[in-house]
Amino acid sequence: MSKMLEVKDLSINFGGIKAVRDFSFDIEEGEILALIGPNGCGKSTTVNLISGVSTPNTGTIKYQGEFLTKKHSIATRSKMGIGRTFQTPKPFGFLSVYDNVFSITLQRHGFKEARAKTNEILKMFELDMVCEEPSIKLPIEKRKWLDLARVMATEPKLVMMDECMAGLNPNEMQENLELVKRINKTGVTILFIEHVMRAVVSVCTRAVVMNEGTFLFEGTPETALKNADVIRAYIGGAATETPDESKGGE
Amino acid sequence: MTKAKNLLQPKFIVMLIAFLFFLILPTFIESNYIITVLIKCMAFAVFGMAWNIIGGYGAQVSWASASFVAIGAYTNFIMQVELSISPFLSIPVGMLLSFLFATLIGYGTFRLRGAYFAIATIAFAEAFRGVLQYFSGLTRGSAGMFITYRGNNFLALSFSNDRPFYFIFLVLVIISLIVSRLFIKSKTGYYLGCIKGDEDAAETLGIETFKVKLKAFQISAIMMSVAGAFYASFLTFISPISTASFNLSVMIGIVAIVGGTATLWGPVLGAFIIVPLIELSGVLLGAAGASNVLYGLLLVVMVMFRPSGLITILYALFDKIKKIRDGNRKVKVPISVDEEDS
Repeated sequence: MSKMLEVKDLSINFGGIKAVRDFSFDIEEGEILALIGPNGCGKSTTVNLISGVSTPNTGTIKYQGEFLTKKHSIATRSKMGIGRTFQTPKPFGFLSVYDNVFSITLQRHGFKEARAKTNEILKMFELDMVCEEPSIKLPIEKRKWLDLARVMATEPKLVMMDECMAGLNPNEMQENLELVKRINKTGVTILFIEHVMRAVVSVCTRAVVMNEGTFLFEGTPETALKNADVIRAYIGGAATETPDESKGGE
Repeated sequence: MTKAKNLLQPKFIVMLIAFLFFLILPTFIESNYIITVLIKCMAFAVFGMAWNIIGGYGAQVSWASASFVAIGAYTNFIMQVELSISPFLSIPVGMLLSFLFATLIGYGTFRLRGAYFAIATIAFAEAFRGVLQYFSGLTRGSAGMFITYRGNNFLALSFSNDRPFYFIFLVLVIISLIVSRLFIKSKTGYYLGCIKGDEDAAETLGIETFKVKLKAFQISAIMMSVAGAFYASFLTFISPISTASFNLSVMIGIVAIVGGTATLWGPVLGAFIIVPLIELSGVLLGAAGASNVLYGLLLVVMVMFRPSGLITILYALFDKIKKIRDGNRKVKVPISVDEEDS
């Protein structure tokens, strides 16, 4: 398998705060990689750097063998196949659910094909029943799906999901996980940024742990949860003894 | 079959009735004054629709509308007075000029978010008015320009009374409606809707927000200058105060906001409410500043009670009619389904 994304020594400062420093990791094509870490450790900043919202001070991002620079605008990166969702979903206001997706599919297709494509995507995300509702009126879990549906409409190769489980009840979470797996099966590589450990364990094969803006650990989600450093980063203090007991974080 | 059905929708019937009504309306009106008020209404409907392209559908509020009206108006008059060129030939020149100026404003501000664009348009509009006054050799400065009556001549847009302008503007309104409709159903229109909904999300989904906003602003400016050229010929006298003032820009914005932003018919309705109101306020209140008070009051009332515009009341009414119609039909649903199948 080839590398989808290679991030090397990435750093960014906001004023005096080093939000991300010398952070490196990579994503294989077709995998679901979890990026985890305690609050404020720089996960979302990393996503912003990859999607082009902010430019790194130092370090490189290589996507499918090509270095992403300032020249690659946010929109260009989307066209290259890098998609993302937001922590708080951002529906297009009073636009109907259908138009939310349709407008995005129009970028790659003519009107007729875009319509077919839109219907297909809406069905996949079970949004076809509410397609005429204004997107702003959707409940939170549907909004998250709509966000994902729109990203899928850009026909991405890599999707970064920023806390797509936050605020969902266990039932909705289960459905969401199924959806993530289904998206992955269509050949989309996924960077899964999450707090909910149960979700991470059930869909991800590999996890990268961040702490205070930098790399901490890499391995399977299970080993990550047992690692003493990871536990210390999450819970704080010296939790070095019995790792088995500290699994409460899940 | 479906097309015929579409044409029987209440919306289309109302549109057809409205068109026929306005077509024969002048024959029943003796007073030239009423005709001029109606022409003004239609002119502002077109201005409002042009504003709506960027201000309504894109939520990028422009206060430089008057400058583009002035570009159309002055190109028309300067070329007609100095070179005696027909307005129909100077309109493309005005379109090109307004396109260039819109590009200039948009290029500097559309990369930024928030109020920068609106502020830049105010600055540009005031500077542009200054320029019109300064280059008095060409524009006659604050004294303004006028064209004289040269017999009935359609190509020179010179008529012995205002009635021909009534039909010219009726055609302009219809063209503007069609252009607006085509625009919102175009790819750019859809992208602009996304930008209005959430600019950050639109950008991460591949929409080049800068280009889309710029394109919409250019279209808006071009429409504005075409309407401005005809409006000037109708007025026969233009000055920086009457065609390039901030006051005119505000009125154009108010027309669209009161009628309903981001709706096809909103600006038309708005124009037919605001223009007569201002004429009335001029007569009843007598003071020149009365219209300013009116704008302020109207804005406050609209934002408080109907921020989506008055047209939405009509739209709600149509929906109700549709529901009643569909409700009546529901009784024989199985039959109609069979009909459609076969």
